[in-house]
Order: sequence, then C-alpha cells, then structure tokens
Amino acid sequence: MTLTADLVIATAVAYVGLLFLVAFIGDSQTRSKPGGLLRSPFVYTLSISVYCTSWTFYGAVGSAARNGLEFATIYLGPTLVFIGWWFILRRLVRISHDQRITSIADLLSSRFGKSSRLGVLVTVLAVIAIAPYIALQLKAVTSSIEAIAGASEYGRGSLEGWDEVGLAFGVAAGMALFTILFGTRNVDAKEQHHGVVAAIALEAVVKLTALIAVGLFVLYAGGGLEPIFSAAAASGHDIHASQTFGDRWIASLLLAAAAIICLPRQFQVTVVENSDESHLRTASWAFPAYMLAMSLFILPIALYGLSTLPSGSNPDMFVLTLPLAAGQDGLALFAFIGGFSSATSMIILESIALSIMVSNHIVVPVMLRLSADDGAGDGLGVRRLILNARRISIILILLLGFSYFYLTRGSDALAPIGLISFTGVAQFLPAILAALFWREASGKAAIAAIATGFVVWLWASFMPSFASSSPLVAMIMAEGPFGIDWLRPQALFGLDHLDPLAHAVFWSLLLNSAVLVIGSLLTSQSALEHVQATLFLNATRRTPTETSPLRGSATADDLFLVARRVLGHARAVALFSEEARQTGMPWTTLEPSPAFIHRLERELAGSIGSASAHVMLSKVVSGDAVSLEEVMQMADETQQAIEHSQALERASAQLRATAEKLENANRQLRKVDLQKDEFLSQVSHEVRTPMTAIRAFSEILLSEKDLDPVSSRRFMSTIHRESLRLTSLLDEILDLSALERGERMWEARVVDAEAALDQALRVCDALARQNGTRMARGERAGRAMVSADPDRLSQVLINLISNAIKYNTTPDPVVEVRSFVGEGVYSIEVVDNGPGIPEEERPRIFDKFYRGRQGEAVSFSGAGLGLPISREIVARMQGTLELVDGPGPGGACFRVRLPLAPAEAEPEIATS
Amino acid sequence: MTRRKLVAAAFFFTLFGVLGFLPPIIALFRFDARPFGVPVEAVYVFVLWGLLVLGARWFSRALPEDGTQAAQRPGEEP
Amino acid sequence: MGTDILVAEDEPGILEALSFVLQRAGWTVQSVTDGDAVLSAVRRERPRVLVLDIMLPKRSGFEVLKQLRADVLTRALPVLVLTARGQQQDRRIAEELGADRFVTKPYSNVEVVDAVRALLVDRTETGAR
Repeated sequence: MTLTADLVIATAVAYVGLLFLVAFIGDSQTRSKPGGLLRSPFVYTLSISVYCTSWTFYGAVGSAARNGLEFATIYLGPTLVFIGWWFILRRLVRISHDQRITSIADLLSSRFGKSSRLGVLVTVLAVIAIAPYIALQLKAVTSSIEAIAGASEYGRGSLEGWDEVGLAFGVAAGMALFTILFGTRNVDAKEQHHGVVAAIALEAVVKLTALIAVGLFVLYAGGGLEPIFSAAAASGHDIHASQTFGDRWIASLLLAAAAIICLPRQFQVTVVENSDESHLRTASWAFPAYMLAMSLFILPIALYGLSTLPSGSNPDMFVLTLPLAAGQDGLALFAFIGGFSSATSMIILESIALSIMVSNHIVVPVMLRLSADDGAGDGLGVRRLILNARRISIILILLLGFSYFYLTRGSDALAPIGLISFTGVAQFLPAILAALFWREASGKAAIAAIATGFVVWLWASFMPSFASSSPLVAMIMAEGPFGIDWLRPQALFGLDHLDPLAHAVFWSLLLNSAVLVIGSLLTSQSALEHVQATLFLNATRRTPTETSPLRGSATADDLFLVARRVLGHARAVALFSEEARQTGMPWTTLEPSPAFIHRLERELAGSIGSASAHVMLSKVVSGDAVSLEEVMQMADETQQAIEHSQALERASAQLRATAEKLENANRQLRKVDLQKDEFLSQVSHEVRTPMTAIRAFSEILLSEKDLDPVSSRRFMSTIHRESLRLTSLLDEILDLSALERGERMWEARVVDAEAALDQALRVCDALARQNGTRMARGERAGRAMVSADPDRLSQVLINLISNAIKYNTTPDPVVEVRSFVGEGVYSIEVVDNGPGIPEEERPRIFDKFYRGRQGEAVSFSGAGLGLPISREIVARMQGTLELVDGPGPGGACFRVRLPLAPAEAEPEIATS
Repeated sequence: MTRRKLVAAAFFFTLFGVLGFLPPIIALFRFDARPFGVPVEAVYVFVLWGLLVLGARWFSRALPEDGTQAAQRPGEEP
Repeated sequence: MGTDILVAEDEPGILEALSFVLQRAGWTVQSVTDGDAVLSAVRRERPRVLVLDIMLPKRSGFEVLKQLRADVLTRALPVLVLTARGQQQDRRIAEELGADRFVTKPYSNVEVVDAVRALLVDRTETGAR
C-alpha cells in the first residue's frame, strides 16, 4: 500500500461520507425507534468524549514529549468533575431539562433573569475564545496531511502548489460545508441532534481504537514499557527530570475541569443532548475510563518517538510519523483517520453549539427587535431565518478559527493553543457555579465579572499568542504598554515568577470571581432574576417548584401565530390540539391557561433560547408586573434571610403589641382599682348609714334610763328597720356578685310575663302614691309566655318602676308602663317624664354603684346596684335591658326585651 | 448507608480525588523508583486514576435515584 | 337667737338620734334635710354650730361648706362634718374647705356631743377676747 496525499484526502472524504450516512441513519432511527441503541448511556458517554480532540490525539503526545506528565491534567480535571457528577453536572442537566436550556449562554442568561445582554456577551466571548481551539484542529489536520505528504515518495500529488495556509483554508471550508450539512438541517425542538451524536460516537470509537493501535505498535516495536522508558531516560528524556507538579500543573488541572463544564460543545453533548438523566450515572465512570484509555499510551508513544525519531521532528505528529517511519502505511492511515475523527467531531459540535448560541442570542433578538410588528409572517419565516443564521455563524466561526491559525502560524505546538481557549471559556465558570449555588448572585455582577475575566484573558493569554507574528505584541510583552511595566501581559502587577499559563489563570479567575462576589453584594436582583435564581437552586429538590413568570392573558390565536413562526406548523398544531384535548375545549375557543403559556414558553425556549422566547411571548401575553411579584413570593420558599428578618420584625411587633396590651391591661386595672375604691367607698357609705342610726339609738337606749316607753319603742323599731336595710344591702351585693359569676339561682320556667308585671305594679303602687306619682296605664300585651323566674322578673320590673318614681323630680310626675309582643319578642317599657338621664351618663348607667352625678348627691335608698342586677337577671333570661330614647323630649325609657317561649306561647294565647 | 451519608461519601470521594492529584500529596511520589521502568509518579497518577474510575462506578450505582427521570420529560416527541 | 345647733342630715333615723342626744346635752337644735335648706337656715337661725352631713340631696355638704366659708357673715361659723365614707380623701377635702371638726359615721353619741361642745367653747373663748 502506498500512502499518498491524494489517497489520504480521498480516505478523509470517504470517511466523512460514512459519518454522514451514520448521522442520517441515526436520525431516522431515533425517529422510528425512540428507545434504540442511540439512546444508550454508552453512546452518550462516547459523544462526551468529543472532549478528546486532535489536541489529545496529536497534541497530548507532543505535550508529553515536552512537559512529561503534564498532559494528564487535561484529562484528570474532567475525570474529577465527572466522578463528582452528583454535585455539578446533575444539577446542570436537571436545570437544563426543566428550563429547556439550549446552550451555556442560555443557561447563564436564563439564570440571571433571562438577560439577553448576558446571552450576547457569553456568545460573543465564547466565539472569540473558541477561535484558537478551532485553529488548533485546522492546524492538526493540516499538519497531519502535510506529514503524510512530506513522507510520501510520490510527492504532494494534487496538493502540489498548496501551501500550509491554503491547505488549512481548504480544510476549514470543507469542515464548514460538512458541519452545515450535518448540523443545520432542521431546528430541533430541543436542539438535540441524534444523528450527529451517533456520528460523534462512531468517531470516538475510531479515534480510541486508532490511538490504542498506535500505542500497541509502539509497545511492540519498542519491546515493552521498560525498554522504552529506559531508552528515553538514556537519551535525556526523563520524566523525573521535569518539575511537573508546580503552578502549571494546578492551573491546567483547574482549566480542564472548568473546560468540561464551560466549553460550548461539552455543554451541548453533556447537558443539551442528554436525553435521560440516568445516562449521566454511566458517564460518570465510563467517560473517565475512556480518557484513561486514551492517555495510557501517550507517554510510551512520546518517549519512543523522542528516542527513535531524528531530533527536530515535530512531537505533535509522532502518532503519525512513528508508523510511517516503520513503514506501517496502513496503521499510519488509520492513525490519520483517528486524528481526523477527533478534529472533525470537535469542529462539528463546537460550531453547532456556537451557531445555536449566535442564532438564539444575537440573531433572533435582533430580528425580534427589528420586526416590531407582531408579524404573523409565514410559518416558516423564523425557522428559515434561524437556520440561515446558523449556517452563516458556522462559516464565521470557522473563518475566525482560520484567521487565528493564519495569524499565529509561527508557533508550532498544539497544546498551548488549546490552553488559551480553555482559559477563555473558564471565565464562565464563576458565573456558572454562582448560578448553581449562590442565590444572591446578580446578573449585573455576572456580566461585569465575565467581562473582567475576559479582558484579563485577552491581555494575558490571548494577545501573547500573537507575539511571534506581531512585533508590537512582542514589544508590549517585553516592556508593557507605553512602557508601563506592571501591565506586562505575563507579569501583571509585577507577578512575574509564575508560569504564563498559571499567571493568566490566576489573575483572570481571581478578578472575575472578585467582581462577581463584590458586584452581587452591591447590586440587587430584578424580580425575574429572583424567580430564576430560586428555580435554579431548587432544581434538584424532590418537589421542583414550577412557576410561570409570564402570567396574564393572551388569545389562542396570537399564541398560535407565535408558535407557528418558531416551531413550524405541524408542531404548533400538535401542541395546541393536545391542549385542546386536555382541556376539553374546542380549538377556537381555547383559553390559554398560564400553565399552557408556560409550556409554550419552554417549547419556544427549546428552539430559540429562553431570553428570546420570553421576549417573543411577552409581546403577545399581556402580563402584569404585579403577578410577577406574586409569583416571586410563591416561588420563594427558602428566602431565609428575608423570612428571618420578617420573623424578627414580627417578634418585635408582637413585643410592641404585648407591651401595648400590658399597658392597656394596666390602665384597665387602674380603672378597675379606682372602681373598686369607689365601690368600697360606696359600700362603706351604704353600710355606715344604717349602722350610724343603729349605734346612735342603741347608745341612747343604753344611756338614757328615763326614756318614755313611746320613744324607746320608736327608737327600737328604727333600729330594727335599719338592720333590715343593712341586711338587704348585703343581700344585693351578694346577689350581684353571684349573678356576675354566672351562678344560676333560680329555675326558669314558662310563665306569663304580664302576671309578673302586674305584680310589680301592685308593689310599686304604694310608693307611687307616697311620691304623688301618677301611674299611667299604657297598652298591654295581654298575655306573653316567656321562659323566666317570675319572682326575679318582678324584681327587675319593681326596680325599674321604683327608680322611675324615685328619680322623677318634676312637679307632676307620671310613670307609664306598657308592654307589647312583636317578632317573637316580648317587650316592656317603663317611661317617666322626669329630668331623664344626661347624655354623658348613659353609658355608665348600668355600672355598679353608679348613681347619677356624684356632685348632685341625689338621695335614694338603693346602693346603685339595682340596674346592674336587673341587667344581669334579664341577660340570664336571654333578654336585654337597655336605656332607649323615650317618646317624649325629657324622661327616661327603659326597655326589657324577652324572647317568647317557642312552643307554649302561641297555643296558650289562642286558648286565652 | 443513608441517602445523606452516601451523598456525603460521594462528595468526599471526589474531594480526596482532587487532593490526590494536587501537591503536596502528588509531590510525595517524586522519588526514584521505576516499577516496570515507569517512573513512580506516572504509576501513581494512573493507578489513582483507575481507582477513581472504579470508585465512580460503584457510586454511580449506589447513589440514590432522585425523582424526576426520563418519564417526566415534557416536550419529547413521541 | 335661740338656736344653738343646726343639723343638716337627710337620713331621718340619724337626724332623729342626733337631735335627741344634742337636745339631751342641753342645746336647742334645728334641722334641715337638704343642701339648699342649709344655707337659708344658717342665715335665718344663726346657729352657734353647724353639724353637716356630706351626702346631702340637692347640694352636697362640701358645696355648702364652701359657700359658707365664702360668705363674710358665715365664715366664722364652726362646722362639724359628718361622713359615712370613711376615707382620708373626704376628711382632707373637708379640712381644706374649712371644716372645724370631722366625725366619721358610725359615731358614738358622746363623740358628737364632745365635738359640738368643744366648738361651742372655742367660739365662746374667741368671742370673749
């Protein structure tokens, strides 16, 4: 077999054809059989191994040849991230499924309040940062073709006349075409490319097999591990000799760990293309195992190449040149295909991932802004536009990669170029970690942090790579800009003893994180940001909180137009029919529920990114800001800080309330105390008055021996009367206190209240005559059966009537008593034409011992307990006693209301 | 082991994996020994790597299932 | 000039007992039963001593006392205040208003007689000077 450049190129094209076929079959198979081989966790794992690019395939050997074990860090970093999948990757996958995240830019934009600005920033920076990486692939493919062509005795064949740059351009153009054919055939509902993933998986197998084949060949040719390592050591290539585990080791370990999360294509395959979370479980060990297998033979190949190939040969190409040197053309061709595989898979996926970001975060938002009309358009408009945008961005991305390749063609090592890209994308890491773990991280801070990190990266890592092609850059590196020493790109702020890579990583990530932390502490989140932060943090809870930030109303027609524009007619119809079926409403009268709008938003987000979907739907959904605040509150379960301070506030409010209550109680107590004093002084007065008479007369009777019998008899009867008065006073006090305690001292039975009233009138008749009061007979109910104790009822009525008589000071006193029945209630009114009760005294008239104005000192016999006692008694009978406005201008009117006894009342009235 | 302990174990497994690849631990293996001609630090790196893979495999089965899995993924085309 | 003592008391029992013991002690006694009547009776009868209950109808004993002390003619009239509300406050008010003696009900007859006698003696001594 003779290996020519033409044969190599032909093989490459044929291989691409095979890949295309696999992708095509893969796509159609997933459509017909959802659960097939392509959905297996191992295909998923293999697709993740797109991480191992031609950098691994060629560059790792070169790196091992130059820096010994250091190459391993590039695989150890991802290994550590994957064995810790539970903590970061699982969250990422969960959140991205829940939120229908389409890219790393979408993730950050979504977390930080669906910020389109952040989306744009991340997209632009990712495109810039990836350019060196793409260039690396172009360089690797070009070099590998050159290596074979250079070694071939048949010359360059049809490559005659193509220099390295032209070849690289050809490769770039071919890759662009290939990627466009592969990746932009349709806008998938969820940006999943099952066919592409199938092809990538195949390529993963090819490159691993090729590298292991070369490794086994080397072991065979070199006579085993020991001779290879000894020979290398003998020729001055000893791993022991290099100081491996320093700042550079740590920096590249960190970078690789960051890259497996932050690289757009890794996010694409690990998170977006993930169709089942459990696949991550398998990948957690299988992907590290894959990388271990890829790395096993790197050291032997590198050392064997170093000790056997002539000095000056490019160590990056050992994988290819070792078989070539041994005349193993078949193996060399296989190795070339392996390297080609790793390059193509990387370029395809990276540019698909980037093009999705570009179209979702730059093109669609711009288009939305330009088409301010609600633009129904034809259903295909948006889709076609998106596809075209992706095609153009793929070309642009490869062009950028090619430009970088062109500008830095002077330097020849592969691995350092890759590390520049790694450092660039690592600037997303602080924001991503904050998105996953830090609720308070704010969008403004994230934008500032990423921008800061990127500026440092551009200065300290990206720009220095042009040193070989630009004298200006070389001068800045040596002396600093305008001679400012402390701004030298690889010795910022005078830090010049670090390795350049570690230096760039240290400063960029330090400043990046510092800005993120300080910025988040100083700025505040928008409401939507708040909601999203909560959703992100709660994503792995068992009961995920679902919320729809877009609430409000929209007509089904409007929504359908939007959906059709983005998703296409068929999917839109399917979506709406499903909703119509579920709600049991006809299509035309479908009223979109918030849940449906939310689902629609997620569907749209799956195609055009969350920020764009949000903007697009906001145009037709008339939501209101208030509902967003509501949602925020509802969604926010763990807003502990706020709740804590609220709890504190509540506690202090309670304290205040308690203090207030205490004060009130105290005032009440003082009032009660005053009332008690008043009460005691009243009782004292009421008791002392009869006591005085009793004592005075007893003393008279005792001391005056010569009293006439008439006087002494009168004195004794006065003593007796006053004793009785004293007794009845004490009875009243006890009576009231018993009533107030709620003791029941009588039996209620159904009686005629009119009889009790007659009894009371008879008793008061004498008093009335004595006072010269005329008792006017008002209308009477005749007969009214109530549930009461007749004696007690009489007591109340006597009290009321005698009060009316006693306090009536008009010259012509009249007291009128009337009674009537209405609405199941029996009422008695006692009305007098006396001076009445002044307005200010009315509220206190039923207070104990309250007896009219103190200053007036009206004389009466009672102790001021009559009304309180009466009121208590009536209350016990389920009735009321109140002072009402009388019919006349003056006078007082007391009204007793008692409910009629339900059963007996009417029949007895009927019989009477 | 309870769910919490398992998760904690997975965390520390990862953490010690990280520490194992960082100085000063990794620097302990810079002494002159060459099993099968391979420098000892290379052997250490690859052996630890292998152990991590085995450990990760164990954890991938041991770690609890947590709720929302394939069944509840909306928007998947039938 | 016949009345030695004017008694203002609304409780008939107490009034009767008071009149009895004061008359027994040798003085002439007139009585009224409400506050308004006190003032006019004082002017009319010109008693040497007034025995005044605080809880009087129409006009309280305090009010009566205040008016008596405001009037030049009656300012010097010795007043014995009777109260049934055995509180310090009543006593203080009475003293502030210019009561000469203060007796709390229920009193012993001797106590009242002694108090009235003391007031009469004071008055006599003042008058002698």
